[in-house]
Amino acid sequence: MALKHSSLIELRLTVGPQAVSCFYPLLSSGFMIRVQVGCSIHDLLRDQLGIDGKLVETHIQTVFLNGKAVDDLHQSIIEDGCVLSLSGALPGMVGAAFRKSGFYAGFREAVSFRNNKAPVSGPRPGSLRVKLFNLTGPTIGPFFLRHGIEIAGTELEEVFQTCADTLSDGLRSVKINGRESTSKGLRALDLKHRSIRLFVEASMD
Amino acid sequence: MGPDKDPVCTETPLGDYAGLGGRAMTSTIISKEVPPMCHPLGADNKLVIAPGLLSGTSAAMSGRISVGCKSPLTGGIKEANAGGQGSQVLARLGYAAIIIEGKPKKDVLYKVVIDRNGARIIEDNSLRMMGNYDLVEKIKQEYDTATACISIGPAGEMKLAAATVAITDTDFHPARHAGRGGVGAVMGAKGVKVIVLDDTGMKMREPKDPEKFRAANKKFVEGLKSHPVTGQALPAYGTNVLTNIINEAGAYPTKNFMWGRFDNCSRISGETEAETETRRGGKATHGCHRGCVIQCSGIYMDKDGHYLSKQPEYETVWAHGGNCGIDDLDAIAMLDRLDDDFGLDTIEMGATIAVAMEAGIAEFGDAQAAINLIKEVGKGTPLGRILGSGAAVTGKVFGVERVPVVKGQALPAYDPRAVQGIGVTYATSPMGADHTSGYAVTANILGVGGKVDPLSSKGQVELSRNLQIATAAVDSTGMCLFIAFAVLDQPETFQALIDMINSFYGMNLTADGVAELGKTVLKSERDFNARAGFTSKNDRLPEFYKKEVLPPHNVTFQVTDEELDEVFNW
Repeated sequence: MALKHSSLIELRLTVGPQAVSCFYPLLSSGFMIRVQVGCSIHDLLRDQLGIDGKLVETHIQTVFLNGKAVDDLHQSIIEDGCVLSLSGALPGMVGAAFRKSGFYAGFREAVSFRNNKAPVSGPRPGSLRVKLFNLTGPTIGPFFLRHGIEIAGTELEEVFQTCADTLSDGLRSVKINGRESTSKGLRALDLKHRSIRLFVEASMD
Repeated sequence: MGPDKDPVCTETPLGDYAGLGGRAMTSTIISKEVPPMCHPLGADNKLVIAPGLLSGTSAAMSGRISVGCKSPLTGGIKEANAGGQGSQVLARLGYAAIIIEGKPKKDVLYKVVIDRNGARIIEDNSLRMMGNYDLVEKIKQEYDTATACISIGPAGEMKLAAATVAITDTDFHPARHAGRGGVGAVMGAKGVKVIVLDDTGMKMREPKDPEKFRAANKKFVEGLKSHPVTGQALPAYGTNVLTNIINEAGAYPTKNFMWGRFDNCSRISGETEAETETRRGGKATHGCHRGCVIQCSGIYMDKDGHYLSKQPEYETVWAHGGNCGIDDLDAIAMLDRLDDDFGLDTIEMGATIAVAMEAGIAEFGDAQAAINLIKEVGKGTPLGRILGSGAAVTGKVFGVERVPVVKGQALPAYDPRAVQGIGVTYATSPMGADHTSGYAVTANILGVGGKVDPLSSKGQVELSRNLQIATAAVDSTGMCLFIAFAVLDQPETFQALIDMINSFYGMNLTADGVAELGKTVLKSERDFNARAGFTSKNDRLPEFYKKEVLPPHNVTFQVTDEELDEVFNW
């Protein structure tokens, strides 16, 4: 999904801790982030998104880069325009097979990612599409929401409809394109046919 | 069950079958007592229903029940197992197995009632062609202390090869099924509509060493709760947590195995399913039997907040969803409900409808057409009886070349071209294509077959063999296969399981002994199939998996016939 800058709205929301989960469905269906590409998956998660290395190690058990199962986060390089999917540990024989460097990884050798270390160039600005499945939404989703994700306006509209009550109680502050606003201002926004760069912070209450 | 006289109930001491449970019990009896060349629906076939070794005790996760026979779907040996309350109740009543043999007088339907006073068989033709839901409701009114039912729906009475045996869950819903291989048709051929179990007044089975047993059980539960799969992912999202991932991997069979990705899969994913259940007042976390600590199931409500079905499993959501191009979760839950009510295997029926769609009987993606087709089966129309006979028969009747079956049984929800190792299991399992035949990811802990390089394709045959051995062993304990995920990473959890068995029976079982049990079970199953006429040619995937590339990764099944023939060369 390519997002046009001309129609981009920047939204910065601060919400109560309970309301952050309203945004998790956006994470599993996929979103764009702008980062420095040309680095490993591990470096992206730890250095650019600020996710603790131990959290990466323990909570991210299944990783796909462009639809292929990754075994080594240090040796797999993010390039501009790629698709990165992250998941926790999964049930099933096949769930075990897709686990990074798992005992049963040989079962899915036909769709394993070949390490592409030795990048042709150093870090540079780029974007990638990210999908966070199952428990990675609650565990590392907030890091992505803080970093800023890009989605279609209709997707955000659906979140506002589904979580209307929760957000009405949980919305603490709103900034639209850098200006302070209110929940009323947010409701007045026409999100259709627009792209959204969304930042969500959880308040400390 | 006759036919020359009224049915007779007898109780027999275990004899040589002592120490066996679950799949080990059913497969050993079938292998020894059933003539392999007999007709599956004839008098010589037997239906064996066996709780696990630890069922009826306070052991966590010990509620699987095995149903075995010669399969009308595959023509080979069959063990299908299910959760629900049946296993615990039957074991507390003191029975290690129910064996139904013979063939009844024509047009007579029976119910079997088992309580602390023993077992009796009662003719009851008023139950004819009742759906499982109405049936258990009627039984509950008649036997208000009944604690579990084992039953068949109309599909079983019609002796259709996709018919299941239903087991009631903790809410007395007939929502747990020994689904695969047409075991319900064999129960129907015996004229038994329902087995009513009532363990009122019975106590839990007592271990020989209660203190050690309690300690081992505590450690076992701790291991399950602390593991990310059994303690977090499964309780939160159930097995359908796999949908997004398998799709992402390009291994999600879509529209009768034509593609490896389904565009709208997020609409039917575990995350969406759990959110829908919670929002409608259902449950995203629920156990199918008492003593379950994983709680991978759930309760699915319709749009008006009324109970529709238990949480459809990953396999069901795939079979009726992506495999048929359907992205409507409510329609899939309705199909699950209808399958449970008529007593049909959701995997077989989803695969069958996809084959019918490929034949042009309905359009891919047409949810209402899929519902109508399942209703045809429930009504027993000629088209319904064809569909209820499974994907292989339907493919033949409608001239479809791409029929995803092995030994006549439909492939489950992982494309073997993307996950080739599971293709080895699909091809070689004595049960026909079955994902649970190699499900117990404990081969590393059991150490069966030595070390293999997990990152090499060369290890796939050996891994499949080891997984099938491990699975046969776990199936024999009556433990839920999902315990394997904790065992995979936590050897102490596996040891706790062995300690539970040992302290209960006063045995000295070791990991080697567990592996040996698995091998023995598999050998007896393979032996039965060989005597039933199976050869290595039956251990093959359909041709199209080798010839047609699977998008998006454009892969074909690469494991050679020679390699497949090595799986059981131990």
